Amino acid sequence: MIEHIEKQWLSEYLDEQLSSSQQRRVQEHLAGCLTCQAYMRELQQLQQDMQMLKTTECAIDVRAQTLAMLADLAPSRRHKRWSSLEYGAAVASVFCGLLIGSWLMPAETAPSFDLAFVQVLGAEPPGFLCSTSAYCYLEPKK
Amino acid sequence: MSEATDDHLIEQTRHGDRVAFGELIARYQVQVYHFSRRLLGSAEGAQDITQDVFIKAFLALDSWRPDAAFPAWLLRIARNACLDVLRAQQRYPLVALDSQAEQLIADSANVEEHAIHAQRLETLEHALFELSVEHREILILRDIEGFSYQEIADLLDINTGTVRSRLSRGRAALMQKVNGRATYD
Repeated sequence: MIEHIEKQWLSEYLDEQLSSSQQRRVQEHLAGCLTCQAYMRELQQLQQDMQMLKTTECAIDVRAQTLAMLADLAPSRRHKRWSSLEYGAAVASVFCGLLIGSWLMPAETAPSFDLAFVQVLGAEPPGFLCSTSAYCYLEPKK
Repeated sequence: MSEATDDHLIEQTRHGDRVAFGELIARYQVQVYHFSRRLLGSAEGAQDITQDVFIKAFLALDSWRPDAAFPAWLLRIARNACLDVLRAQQRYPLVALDSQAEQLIADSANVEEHAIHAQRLETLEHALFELSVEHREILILRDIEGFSYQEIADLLDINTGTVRSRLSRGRAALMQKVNGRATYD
């Protein structure tokens, strides 16, 4: 029984996609196998006919309608990407702004220990810590 | 049509030149239309998809990479649009031939010859519509549009090994339908 070449090999042979050794093997087999020769002819005819479909394609023109539809789209739909230069400039601007801002802000110095201690307690007598110190022991008016 | 390259026209389009984009439409609309028509099985649906493809392409131009072939990118968008329609319809596409084969009439002096050719091509279109989407699209891309195996693999997001096997099976299936007899095993 004759062992035929795989159909996939014949398909790839048609497209010149086989390695040199595979091509030789196919050619040698085709030389002596009428069945594979017939299949190969059918493949070639099919491919020619398919290519003929391409040459018989009718023309169409959708330019006008397509461009009209694009004109109706809002311009903002197409966003222009920033270039790396523009990104760099934006980052540099933010950095400079922060730097300048930090120079202009007055420096806050931490109070000395003694001053901080007095501030916690307050300069006023302890009674003054209460907003209504003189009356805070009284009952609320009814 | 101008002789400007696709890259140049795309760059012009990105800068707001609609005339440049019109030129791109003119170059590829027929290819996109007929690819969509064959995949979808409908001439009317194909025209809508063709417009849709170019609008989507225009809006996504920033994502197109110069190393990718522009027509392959367009057909990828068209394929996705067609598959969405086919999924939504969930039916086998209608066979709506436009008598594309009639174009041969103008070129053939032999009436009988052109009639035979026209009939054969009409049979071929019918048979193509009867194939699975998987086989149909790969046959269109290889045998009609002429894309390489690698380009087809990139467009369909499959490896070249799958392209080889699917193409072989697709051709065998198409031959069986066209010739109406079983091929050898």
